[in-house]
Amino acid sequence: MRAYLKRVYASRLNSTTVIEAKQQWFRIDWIELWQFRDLITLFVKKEYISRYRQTALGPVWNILQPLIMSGILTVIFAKLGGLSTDGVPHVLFYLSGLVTWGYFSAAFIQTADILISSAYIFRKVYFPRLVMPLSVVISKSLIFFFQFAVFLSILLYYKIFTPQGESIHLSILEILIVTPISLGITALLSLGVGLCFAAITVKYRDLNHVLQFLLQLWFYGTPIVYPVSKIPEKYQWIILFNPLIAAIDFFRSAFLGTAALSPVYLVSALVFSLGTVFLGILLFTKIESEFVDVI
Amino acid sequence: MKPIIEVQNISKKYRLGMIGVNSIRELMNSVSTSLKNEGISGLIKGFRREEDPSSTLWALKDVSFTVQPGEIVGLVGRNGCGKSTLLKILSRITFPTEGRAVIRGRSSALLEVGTGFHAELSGRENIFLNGAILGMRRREIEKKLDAIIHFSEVEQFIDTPIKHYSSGMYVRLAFSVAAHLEQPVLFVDEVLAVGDMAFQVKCLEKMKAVANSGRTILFVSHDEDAVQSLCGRCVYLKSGKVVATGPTQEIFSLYNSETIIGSAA
Repeated sequence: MRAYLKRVYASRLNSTTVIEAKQQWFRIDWIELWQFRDLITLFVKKEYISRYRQTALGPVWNILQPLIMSGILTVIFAKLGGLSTDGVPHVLFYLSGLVTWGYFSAAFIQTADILISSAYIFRKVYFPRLVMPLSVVISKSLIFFFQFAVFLSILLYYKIFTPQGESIHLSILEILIVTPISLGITALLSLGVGLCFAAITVKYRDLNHVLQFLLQLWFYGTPIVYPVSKIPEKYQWIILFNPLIAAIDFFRSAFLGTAALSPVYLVSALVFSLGTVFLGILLFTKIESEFVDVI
Repeated sequence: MKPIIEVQNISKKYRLGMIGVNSIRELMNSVSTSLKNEGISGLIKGFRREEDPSSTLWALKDVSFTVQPGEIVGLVGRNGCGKSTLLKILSRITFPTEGRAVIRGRSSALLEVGTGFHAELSGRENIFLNGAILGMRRREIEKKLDAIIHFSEVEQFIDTPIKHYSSGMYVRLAFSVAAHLEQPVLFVDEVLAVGDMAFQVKCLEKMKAVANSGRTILFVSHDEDAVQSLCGRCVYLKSGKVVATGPTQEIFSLYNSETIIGSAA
């Protein structure tokens, strides 16, 4: 594999670039993208360094943020609102949804803004534009793993040291299958929807304002503060259109042993997310040929 | 030998004034008037409407020329003649409206120095980031790292975040990364000399060394001396069209006579 890539790369070194007016609709130069993998790594690193330099707590914020959030949710929804968490300790229930949601929303927000926030670079130098959104989705996934580790340690604490631990059923096999799929759905969806938003925002800045409300709606339309079983039967179709529902529900069920949806939903969520990526790249490649002249 | 840069009938059209739809009301108005007047077919026609020629600008019109490997070619012309637009098209930042160009080799563009520099990152980190943005591989940068740092004269501060740099240090570091690019084809826009007088001299020397290293460079500048000392041949652009191509000396005598007449009239 490496030898093959090396050969391709060597042939590309003397490659010929053809610049033409007409661009193909769905055109991704995978080899070129691969050549810029160092740049993706460096953008991820830059994101990380610039975020935590000159903060006293640094990356610890990644750990505190979902903890504080689930504390707030516990007070409001569990204590005041009396919303059920399927018999699972509140903190664990909320955290299991929040780590996935946090990854999705962070990657989505930053991707949606990528063409405008990076315009100053895109106007001065060429590299495959997809490098930017990809590095966003990757750098946010690192934060996800941080928070995932926090979730795991709290889970183990509950399992071993508290009487409630007996009601938590970890299924290792399920965890190994579901976690990567659920993470994949979240990554693909944030990339896909983010790219769509990025492309449209170039022409209609209105979308910037819509984004905030959409995220709020999306948060409550996703079973983070309530179990999936609370979705009324006549609204079950929404599961098909919000892949995060399946992603979070299966994640939760694998780690906490709550009842899960039919596996069909997991597959459909994956397909739907892939669809948004396809659409996103379509719009993104369409707009990238003209956006430098528009922005 | 095939030319390394081939520009064939490139044109670039810009729309003037406000671009895109400015408000929902405007969009609704245009939709409703075309619906009222001509029905559905009017609506479709409305979206494909021929543009008002007074609201468009041809920044480049039918530009063609070729550059042989190893040549240093200057692009000259007055402000707004399309030099920078051409450079942007060749460096793939924007696309041509018509025509095509072929570049036979890896290329990089220097439209400004320090693109993507991040204030919180150290000088060293920024060398890697900026180098990668300009298309260098990590290994290439590592190989050149010492040379880049040495040339920039900021050795002492290389691990300090660049937000603490003076503006002179900043541009020296930025130029230094750019000057160590290895791509065989370079597009350079007015970033010849930065910093104080001593460093500017050093920059020009470096550019001459780069130019003599067998690379192909397409070079835009208003600095007549720099162009004369670097470029063997020039392309003269005027209002988006190629007026003449030829040896630097000839082009400049033509260019100077025309601009003097132009400014006298």
